[in-house]
Amino acid sequence: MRLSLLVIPILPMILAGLLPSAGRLGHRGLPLVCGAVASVTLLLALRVAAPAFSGHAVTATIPWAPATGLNLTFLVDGLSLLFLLLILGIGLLVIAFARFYLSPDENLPRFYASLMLFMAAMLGVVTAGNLLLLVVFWELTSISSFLLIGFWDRDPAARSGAYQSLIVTGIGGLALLAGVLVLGGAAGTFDIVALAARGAEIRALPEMPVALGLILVGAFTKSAQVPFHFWLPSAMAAPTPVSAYLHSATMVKAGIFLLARLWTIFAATELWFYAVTGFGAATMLVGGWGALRHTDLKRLLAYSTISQLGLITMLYGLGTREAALAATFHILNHASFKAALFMSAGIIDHEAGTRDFAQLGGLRRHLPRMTILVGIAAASMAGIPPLNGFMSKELFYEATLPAHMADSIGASLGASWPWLLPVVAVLGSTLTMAYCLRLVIGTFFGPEGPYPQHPHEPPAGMRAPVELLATFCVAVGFLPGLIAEPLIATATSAVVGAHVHPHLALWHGLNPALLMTLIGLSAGAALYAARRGSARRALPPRLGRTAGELYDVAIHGMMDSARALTSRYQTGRLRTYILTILGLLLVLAGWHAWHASWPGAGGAAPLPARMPMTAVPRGAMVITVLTIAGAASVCALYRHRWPSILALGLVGALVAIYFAWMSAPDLVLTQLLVESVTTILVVLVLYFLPRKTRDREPRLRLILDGAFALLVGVSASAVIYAILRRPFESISSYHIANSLEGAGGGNVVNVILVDFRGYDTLGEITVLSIAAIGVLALVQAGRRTT
Amino acid sequence: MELLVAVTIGGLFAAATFMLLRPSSFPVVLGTILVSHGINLLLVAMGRVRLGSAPILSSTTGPPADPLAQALVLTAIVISFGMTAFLLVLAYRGYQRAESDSVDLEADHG
Repeated sequence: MRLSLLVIPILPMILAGLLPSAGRLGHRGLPLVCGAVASVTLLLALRVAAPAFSGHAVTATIPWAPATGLNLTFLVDGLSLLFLLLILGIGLLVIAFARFYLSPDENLPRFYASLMLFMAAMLGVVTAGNLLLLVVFWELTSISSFLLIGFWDRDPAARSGAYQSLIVTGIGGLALLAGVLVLGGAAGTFDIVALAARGAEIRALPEMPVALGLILVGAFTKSAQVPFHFWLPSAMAAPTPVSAYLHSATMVKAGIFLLARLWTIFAATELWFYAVTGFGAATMLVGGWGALRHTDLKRLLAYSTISQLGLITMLYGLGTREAALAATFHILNHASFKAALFMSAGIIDHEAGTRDFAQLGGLRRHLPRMTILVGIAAASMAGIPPLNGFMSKELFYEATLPAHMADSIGASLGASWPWLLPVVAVLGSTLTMAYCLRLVIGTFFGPEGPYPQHPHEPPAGMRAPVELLATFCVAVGFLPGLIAEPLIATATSAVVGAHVHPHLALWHGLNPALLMTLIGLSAGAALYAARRGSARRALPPRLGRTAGELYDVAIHGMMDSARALTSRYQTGRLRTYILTILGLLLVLAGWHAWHASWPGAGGAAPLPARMPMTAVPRGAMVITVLTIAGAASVCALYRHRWPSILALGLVGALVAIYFAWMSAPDLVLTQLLVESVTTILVVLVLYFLPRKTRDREPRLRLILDGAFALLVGVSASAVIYAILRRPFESISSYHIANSLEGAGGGNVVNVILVDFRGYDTLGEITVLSIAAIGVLALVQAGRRTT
Repeated sequence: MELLVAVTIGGLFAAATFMLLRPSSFPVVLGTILVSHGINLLLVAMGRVRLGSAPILSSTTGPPADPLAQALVLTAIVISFGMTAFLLVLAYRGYQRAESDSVDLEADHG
């Protein structure tokens, strides 16, 4: 029983993994399989969640990384239940719609795999009982949504829209993670149930404002709240089933879900009240205004979604139980009418070949049934009785009245500006009414537009999901107590952490809320009438510079400055790199030397006393002079191949003599051997390289390079000399002491190589093998091309 | 002796630096060989200069020279050989493909 809780998100995820290799199922089989899995998951969820209906949360925990507080904890309560039904119910309708909407020539396995991955991620978000686990699924929704928005990857608008949504929600996801870490670190647990039980204690924590602020950024980016709202209209480049699913019913509700999840913990704080209510209200108005501005049907719907999401956010911000009830109820209603509207937009696009208001209008003669369906859904969005949207709007109005905030955190605001929130609410509804009229009239009434193709009613299967949703809108309106009340009651109880007994009804008597409804509806109609014809022509003015443009400026600025910076130091010239590296090294060494040699300058620790010099062996002077002369003649003769190779071989042999002096017989042998092989190799390759280095470099550059090289050499000598004169405690005393007894070898160097540090030798062999493979590959590649 | 060792390593580094600053591939490869010599010598010297006391037990009376530095350098010599071989072939292939022995991205040696 408990384990089946884990299966809810895992089942669609397994299917998502299998689908990419299931292309032969075809455009009929794929949606069938997806629908079957979604149905099974739905049945399973209902079975598991049965106790949640009576107010008992179901949990299951598997330890994952318990030391960090990260456990696979799953929690299904009334709130999860509401979202489970939305995700799986709307998901099934969307799969059915996509079956008819998408052409069989599309890359369908990829589409359905992304869709099921998204479904799994969303199910994970709403059933996660651990905040860290929630963040994991949250990020997964961002990634799968990126894949879905960018599904038509040949379209540049789809690609940029996908990037935009990924970047905005990705930044929000990071903020959310940071906020969750701060919260969990301060409270000592990431378990949602445990956190909710300690609400008062958490509200008093000094870290609370930081944690809450960061979490709100996460929620606001996901739910397209101002000022992060601009990604949602850009995401309209997605196929319509995706918009109907992600951008109306589910993903954009994830942020709101998070607000509902944390309601019991934070809703009683001032920060929550002002931030969530304020941003929600601003989003509602900005979204409503935007919906009046755009001529693309889907963009209008995107802005109306922003507006409705703002409304729900504002309601959760108010912090009263009445407001939470209205918000929870509106989540359900918005999902039903908005999914229907998005699918209708897809059908109109499909039938008329355009989504532009300039080419639409008068469609009611061609699509009479669609006219009724869109009319019902739009009326529900506008809050016209007797539909479900009307009821949640009424609850919304009531919640904004000062009388309902008397004993909550908003009491002081209600006392000083009693009219503020009701006026904002009516203003929001006015805009809603206006854009709903614009949507219906601009599409279906008025003169016929120049449609790119002749429209006719869509296939029944394509229309069926819309019909179901519209029926739902009407049914909830007439029978709220039977259909919606139990679910909304248990979901709201889970949100506020106490039993709530709502009484959902169409008629609440003559009260201020009804008056506000009437004002909103008539003002909206008046606003539309005043701007009559504006659906085609003049648009209301823009409100300043939009956040979307600022986003573009920021992204382009970042890319340009990164490109400028990179091209400045990544010149592609070896010379620049060498000069930079060695020059910096000289500066650092010089700075240290200056500090070390003048005790007053930096206060560095005094160096240990110098050791006596070692005696100079016979001929050492001559060999030194010869070595340096040899190195110098390599420099002087490099234009001439054979003399420079001879000089180089001489230097290698002389280095072996130094090894002999420094008591390293093994090194002498190795050096001589490797030196001979190197010389042979150089000679071999030289046969293929140009005989002479032709280019003449300017004399001044040679002189300057020589001076720089001398400076490097002298500095290196000085540092090395200073080091060599100071004592040094080597760790090799261990090797010397244990060589004979532990490894049975007298030559300590050999014992180290094959025994003490045998892995170094293994590494050396590996490097040589890689070099050999590289040489072989290069030589063979050369043979093929020539 | 310390002074002579330090001067030798410095001389090798100076020559290597000059060669690495050249724009064509052959001198750059020679430069890497020179710098390998310098670094190998430097690493052994870091175990401090000690004459006539090879770290072969029972053959020395006094404290032997640092065997660890020698073991590391023995590995280093072999690895620098591998690197030299690879660089040489790379220079050869680069010349073959680009018809130029320049080590820079741009064709001009400016």
